[in-house]
Amino acid sequence: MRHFFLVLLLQVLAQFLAAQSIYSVADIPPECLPNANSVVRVRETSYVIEKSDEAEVEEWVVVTIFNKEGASNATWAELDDEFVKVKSLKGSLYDADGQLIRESAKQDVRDYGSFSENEFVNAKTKILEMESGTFPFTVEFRVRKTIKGFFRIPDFVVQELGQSVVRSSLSFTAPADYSYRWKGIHTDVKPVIKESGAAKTSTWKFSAMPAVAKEPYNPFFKNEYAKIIIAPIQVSIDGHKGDFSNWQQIGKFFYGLNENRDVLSPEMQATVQKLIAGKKTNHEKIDAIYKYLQQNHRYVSIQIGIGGWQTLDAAFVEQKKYGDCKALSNYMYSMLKVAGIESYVADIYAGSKGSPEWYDDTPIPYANHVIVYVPGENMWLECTNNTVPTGYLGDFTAGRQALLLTPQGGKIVKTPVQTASDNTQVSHISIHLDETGSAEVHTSIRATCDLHERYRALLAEMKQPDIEKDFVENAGFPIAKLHNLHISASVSLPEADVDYALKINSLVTKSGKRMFVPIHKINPFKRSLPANDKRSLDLIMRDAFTLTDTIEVQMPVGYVLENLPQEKHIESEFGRFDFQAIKQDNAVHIVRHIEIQPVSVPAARYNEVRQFYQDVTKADGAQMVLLKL
Amino acid sequence: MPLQNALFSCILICAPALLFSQNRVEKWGNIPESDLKMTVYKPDSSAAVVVLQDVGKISLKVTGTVSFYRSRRIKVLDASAFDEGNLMITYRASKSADELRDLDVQVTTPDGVKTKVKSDNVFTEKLSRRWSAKKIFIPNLQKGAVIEYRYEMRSEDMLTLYDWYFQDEIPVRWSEVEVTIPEYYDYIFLRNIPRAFDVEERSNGLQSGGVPGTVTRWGLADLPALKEEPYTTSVDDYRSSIKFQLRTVIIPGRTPETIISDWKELAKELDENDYFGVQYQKSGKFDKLWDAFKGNLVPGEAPEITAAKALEFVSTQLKWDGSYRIFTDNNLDDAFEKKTGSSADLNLSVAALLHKAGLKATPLLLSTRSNGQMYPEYPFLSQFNSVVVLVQHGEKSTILDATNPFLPINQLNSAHYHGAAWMVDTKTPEWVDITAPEASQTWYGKMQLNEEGEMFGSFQIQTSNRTAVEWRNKLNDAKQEAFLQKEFAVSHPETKLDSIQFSGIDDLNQPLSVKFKCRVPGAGSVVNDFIYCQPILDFFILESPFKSLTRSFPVEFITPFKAQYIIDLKLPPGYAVEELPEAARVNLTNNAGKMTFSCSKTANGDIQVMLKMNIAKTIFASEDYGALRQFFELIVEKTQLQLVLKKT
Repeated sequence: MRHFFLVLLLQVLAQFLAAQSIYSVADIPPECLPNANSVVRVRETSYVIEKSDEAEVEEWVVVTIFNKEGASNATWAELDDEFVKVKSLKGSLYDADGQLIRESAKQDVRDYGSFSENEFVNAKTKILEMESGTFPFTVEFRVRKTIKGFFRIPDFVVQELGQSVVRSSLSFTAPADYSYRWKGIHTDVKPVIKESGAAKTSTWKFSAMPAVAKEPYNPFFKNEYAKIIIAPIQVSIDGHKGDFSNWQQIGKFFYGLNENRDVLSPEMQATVQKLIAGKKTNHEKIDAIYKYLQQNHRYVSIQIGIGGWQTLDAAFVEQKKYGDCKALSNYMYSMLKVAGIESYVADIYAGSKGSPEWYDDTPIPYANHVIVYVPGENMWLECTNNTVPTGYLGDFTAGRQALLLTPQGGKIVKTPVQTASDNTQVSHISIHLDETGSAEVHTSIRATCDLHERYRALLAEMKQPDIEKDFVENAGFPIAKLHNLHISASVSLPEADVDYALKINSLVTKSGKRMFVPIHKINPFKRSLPANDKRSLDLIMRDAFTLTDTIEVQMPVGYVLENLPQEKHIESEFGRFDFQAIKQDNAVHIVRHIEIQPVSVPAARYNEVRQFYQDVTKADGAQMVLLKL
Repeated sequence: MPLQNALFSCILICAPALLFSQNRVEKWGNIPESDLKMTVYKPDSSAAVVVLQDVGKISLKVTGTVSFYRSRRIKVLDASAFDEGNLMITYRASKSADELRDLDVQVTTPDGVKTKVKSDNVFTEKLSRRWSAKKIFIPNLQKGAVIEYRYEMRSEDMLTLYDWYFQDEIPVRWSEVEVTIPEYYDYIFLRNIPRAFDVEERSNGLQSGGVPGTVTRWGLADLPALKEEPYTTSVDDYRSSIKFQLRTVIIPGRTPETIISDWKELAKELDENDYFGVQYQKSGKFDKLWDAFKGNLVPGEAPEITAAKALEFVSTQLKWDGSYRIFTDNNLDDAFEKKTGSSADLNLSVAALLHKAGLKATPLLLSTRSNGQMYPEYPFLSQFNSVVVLVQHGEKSTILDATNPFLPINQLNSAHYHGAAWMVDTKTPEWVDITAPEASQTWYGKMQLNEEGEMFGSFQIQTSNRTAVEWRNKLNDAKQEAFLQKEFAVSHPETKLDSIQFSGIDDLNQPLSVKFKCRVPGAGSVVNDFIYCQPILDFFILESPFKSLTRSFPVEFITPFKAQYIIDLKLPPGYAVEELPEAARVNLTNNAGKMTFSCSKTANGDIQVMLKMNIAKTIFASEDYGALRQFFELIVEKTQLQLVLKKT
């Protein structure tokens, strides 16, 4: 009997010690400390697939957080809607010694709806915050949820950048005949497979993974370093069954979900015919229909149940004159159909940071947006923007994979890339300096593609007085008086023209007899990468553009040129810089040309890129010195 | 439907005798031709949308039910304002819930065709625990359309009724509110308006049930769109509004009930409140907190020391949850066990510890900067939303705030600097001025320039008060070198920092300073026989914060502040100064600000450059904006001045 108690006591003690070792900061293995903003002490995630449209999910996560960079791990968010039901969500907070500070109460889990005025989503976000004011601390979350109807499994992110993992596992249990594919990104771990009766469980186990430092401009979308992605093959949601074995089949599923929702009323068909009457080319017809869409419809997002994936009927948009990306795209497609123009809607991941990579061998449609493609014109149409010219895709959707939905099935296509020769800005600047150092500046600019978007947006959002106010507040130099400002955007091309005349009191700095004139103050180029001799991640920089400036500086009477920067040329695969200045009578004529190319290089070449930007920034900061006679 | 509202609440049997009659309100659906055809709103030609009229009717039933009826009419002038067709009406969903009823929306096109917006365009959403919303998406919206919507809300919250804002982020042509109150109830009207009302009329009326009452109507015309400006305490301070506060209830046959009496009475009530006075004065509420803390006390130590210890204990043991409250959520010990709490939980914990330690610690109530103004003339509680602590010892007093672990004594969270606070003292309740101590930073460099234009040497930066608090906060989040790189090397990203040594990081009552060595390549540009060099490498401002040419509201800083930059620069051998920038001095009127700049040769041939500035007050009227703007522009200009050195 006594012996029994001793065993029991030892068991309790062992459990206590085991518990200690996952909460106390002192027990983190030393190899997991460098570069870590947070450490996953333990994570166990399990999916149990009952059938193709039913799954149970359980997660247990303990994370130690060292600083603000890792603090997002202290908040757990779960979406709860018609398909996903969060059955329980609990959290605990521990101090550095592993002592429990608090456990979450039921009311600590807060439900939020959408605070946007243009959106109704029949879902709530459950948020549980377990932050502490004193670093380091450890949080623990336990979550259970049921999913009814799904076509993808959320990625299992083993490790974010700046995060180490002591141990972590993903287990995926499904009926033996349930088929799916999986892929490990930045991990070679293979699952251990166990079969029991009709169920088969695959378990991926990870341990002692040191943190990979978080570095800017890295190739990882949302900083997810290592992950396991799972792509189910037989899917079912809200009674719609699909085969997700390849892109063609996936496209077929989404096409089917959205089929026969393209019927316009006879009146609307007549309107479309009227819009295209007299238009000779398809391009003109598309243009007329697209402009009609832009001028009469607005973006309103209503997402209810399967409506997150299935478009509202064209008749709905016809009647309401609003819709979300799916509904407006479907409506555009429906109008084009009436006009006899073949088009398709396409699923895409929109965002100015690019898109997660889509894999052919593990096809998962990472999409959050829908656009329209017209194959006959090789033209893309963004249907939620009320101002862009017909056929223009901005930074939000350019240069990435999209899944075209056709009656024959899906097809992966790439949207056009915006290159340095697309995104241009040509400026003509004339500067008249007077002897007090103040300057009258007259500038005319033509900007294209990505560089024109801010001007078009200004015109769409504001009228002249507010545009002027915005211009003055956001100029890189202090304006004493704005004589005039004229901004216009082309109706048919992604181009904007800007013309302004203004006075600046302190464009130059005056010291005694000298006047220092920074040459590119009106339109400076500045970019620097932080010093890093141990860069470990590839360097990816997406933007590309060309700036061409011709500048004429009229010197004040009584001043001579003491110093004029020399001609300068920098050329590399990352871009180029050309500068030339010539004095002619009392004026200096300057031509400056900067070309920035997208960068995708291994870590070893980081300093080359850094040096390039450093050289260009330095060259661009050159100044003229004028001397009073 | 609109009259239903009147039936439910108070019907005026007597027609009000109007003192001054001006009715600019059109009936529901009655839209004048001129409004239908309007293409530009004349008083503001840049407006894409205008509120034609906004009418509120608030009426209080004898039983205490409050009805708020609102009818609003907007004109969409331009397609860029189509988003105005997405209406969102938020209402309280918590215990004292609003009941929203009789929502009615209609749209009239410029040709006069009216369409009622059907319920399939209306969605109800729970936004959070406290708020719900009706979201209405107007279908078939066209340029020139007039949108009308009306609804009624009801609540039992008779203390404050409903606030009325005349002004909006878009221009308002006419806004009025009418309040009907039975004579049993006496209210204070808190007005915040820039000029006299265009309509202000009061009439007597007999209400249903035979209770007489008063009807008051206030109207304002042609209100411009309210736009936020930087350095404003809260844009709501400048939004025309009227708010209500119940003062007394006098029901015949019953003892009159005073809701707002005097400050002493309010202090007494708070003192006896279970979630306020009782918490910090009665044992049993904070035993665990006290037990954990008491070991820190040393008998006979100075009161300031005790105060600092209690402050440090609470602010490091409990994490502020980000909310401002005047009442504790539960007992102080509950917050202590959860290690988290609101401003009330934290600061009343400090008061409790000091009170128990035998010090005179008194809570100070205030309204945070974004919560709106306070009314020292009216002793009502709802004007306050947060609490800090005042400790008095002899002639001296110390003010404490535990909402941030980096706040020393006499330093508050910036949201708490709102000019004044009210001391909850049952014997001598009074308003005290709360002004932030001057924030300061001093940069001192001993540097040398070489022939390549590289500057090297050592620097020391010292910060105090709010600047030090900000630095300590940032240092907590970032590595020291990365932090310093951001503060010191913005203009010269190639700067190399070395031997960084911070002092005073942990002693909050001391200034925070840092010493370091640095090398700044490219600080000077070498051209032929000349070196041009900008001696001010970096500073706290590199660009003027005031770019806009005009200003509508006063400029409000949180604290007075001063900054200075001094550098002793050794020249490269063989070079001499060709030209030194001239000295300069600027004063703002009434010593509100000062800037001095000088550049001189020292006895040993070095150059000393000095830039000093300060802003001595926190509020500048919009008329003074031009001078302030120039002042900052000048400072920025001085930071860019260059020395000219020539080979000898």
